[in-house]
Amino acid sequence: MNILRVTNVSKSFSNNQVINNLSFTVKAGNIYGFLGQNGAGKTTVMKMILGLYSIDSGEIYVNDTQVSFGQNKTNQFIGYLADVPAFYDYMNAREYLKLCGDISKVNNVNSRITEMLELVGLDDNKTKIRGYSRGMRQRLGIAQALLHKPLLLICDEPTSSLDPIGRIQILDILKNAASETTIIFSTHVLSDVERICDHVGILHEGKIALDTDINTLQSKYNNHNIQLTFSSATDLEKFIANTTFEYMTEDLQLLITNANLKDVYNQIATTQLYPTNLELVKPNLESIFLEVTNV
Amino acid sequence: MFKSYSLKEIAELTRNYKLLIILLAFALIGFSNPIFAKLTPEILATTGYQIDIPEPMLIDSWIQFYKNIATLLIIYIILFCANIPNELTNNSLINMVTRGLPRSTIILSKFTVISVLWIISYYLCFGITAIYSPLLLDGSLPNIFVASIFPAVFGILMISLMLLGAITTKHIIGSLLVPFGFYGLSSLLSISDQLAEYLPTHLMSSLSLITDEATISDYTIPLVITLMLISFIIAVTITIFNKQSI
Repeated sequence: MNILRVTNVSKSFSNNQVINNLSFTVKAGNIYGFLGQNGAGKTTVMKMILGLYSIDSGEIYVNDTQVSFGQNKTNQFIGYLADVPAFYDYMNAREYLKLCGDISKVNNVNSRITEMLELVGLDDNKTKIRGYSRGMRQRLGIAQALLHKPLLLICDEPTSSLDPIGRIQILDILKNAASETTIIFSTHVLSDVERICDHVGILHEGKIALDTDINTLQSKYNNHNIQLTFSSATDLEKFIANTTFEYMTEDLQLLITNANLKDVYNQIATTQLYPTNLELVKPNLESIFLEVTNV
Repeated sequence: MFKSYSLKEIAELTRNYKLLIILLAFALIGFSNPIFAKLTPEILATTGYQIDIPEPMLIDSWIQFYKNIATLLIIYIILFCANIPNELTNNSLINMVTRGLPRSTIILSKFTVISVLWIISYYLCFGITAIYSPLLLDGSLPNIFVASIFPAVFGILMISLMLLGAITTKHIIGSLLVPFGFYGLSSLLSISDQLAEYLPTHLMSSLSLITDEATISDYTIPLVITLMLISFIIAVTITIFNKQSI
């Protein structure tokens, strides 16, 4: 079952077409990595799903209910975590979550708040939110987003402002939360997607350039990378001079792309230039992303 | 939802001491009205000028009240002008809206809390003046309470205009310009006697009811116009907010 359906959606700001006939779906239970370069329009898409931005054309459905700009009928199904969530800083975490719970009409709100504070690892004390670090604010953001048990959790670059430890902690919390909710996770940090997502959509030039599960993606793309390491720069240069492969070099290493192993062995035999190491490089999302977006 | 969000507004007023400051300011002005009326001749006497000033009476305290309430209204609007622009610029409304809080509830809650506090503060000032003045000054006056209703309603109109300005411009300057621009324009139009008696600003001159220079019926039309304007402005504010990207 699709929890989110985006169909032929377009959006312009003044004369700048940010989203161009965008279509994609998110299945219930997925952790959907929504990738794109900075400025690709990821936040715009998320705000259109939330009904915070109007759409020029197309339709968006959340849990089979159409999203209407300015209305919030569909927001009962959604939890939202902004990149830098803003709170009422004069409140403590429990007071803020109580306000959120009352607005969402959460049953047994006090016990649910306790549950959420435990999930995100925040102390249930009187500390005002204004005294929270970025990481703590992000944890509180997750707690408020999950408080009403949403069917869909939308996270807009939730790790972008965090240090490496904070980033890993937030990703782990999201991974745990995935047992109860579908997650859309926008980011330009590819390692974050590789860590928790099971499905990837790459937004490029206002459209989904690629939409597939992460395993299929890694087996389909960029699976001919072969890395050779030579003992000297001279050998490396001679090897390059005779090659017809596409390649990248770094120090004494040569990374051959889009070639098969047999051809590489043939060139080694022909040139008599033997590498000290030959390795098949496992494709990573970064190289796939670069390939898909032609950067 | 209305109750929860309104309670949040009240908590905000309490935590940032705005509630305390406002109530203290209005109470202080309430006490100062009869005191200044009583002391004005003595203060003027200390200047050394020979001015023949009649014995201060009860009406002088109410003249002070009507002068001060216009100033207090301006200060009140200034104190609240940043309320919506701040929430829009620091994105604190997003968590509320994205979890299902209707935008209309946000506007209505803010309007209700700010208006109710205005009424409470206004009548605190009025009550103190009404109780304290007869203890210091002689005289008896008609229509004191009825006359007080009209500036209170005008204050609510200014609050609704402030919200309209805040939502339209998303900026503090806008939330000040719209109410004060309206006040200025309305005052300018009041130069025409024919127009003056229909304009909302006419409500601020209800001292005439106490001095018996006017009757209650003179204020009926501007009161109705003002109440209609308030409803219209709030409806327009909600409509604009519903169509805004946030």
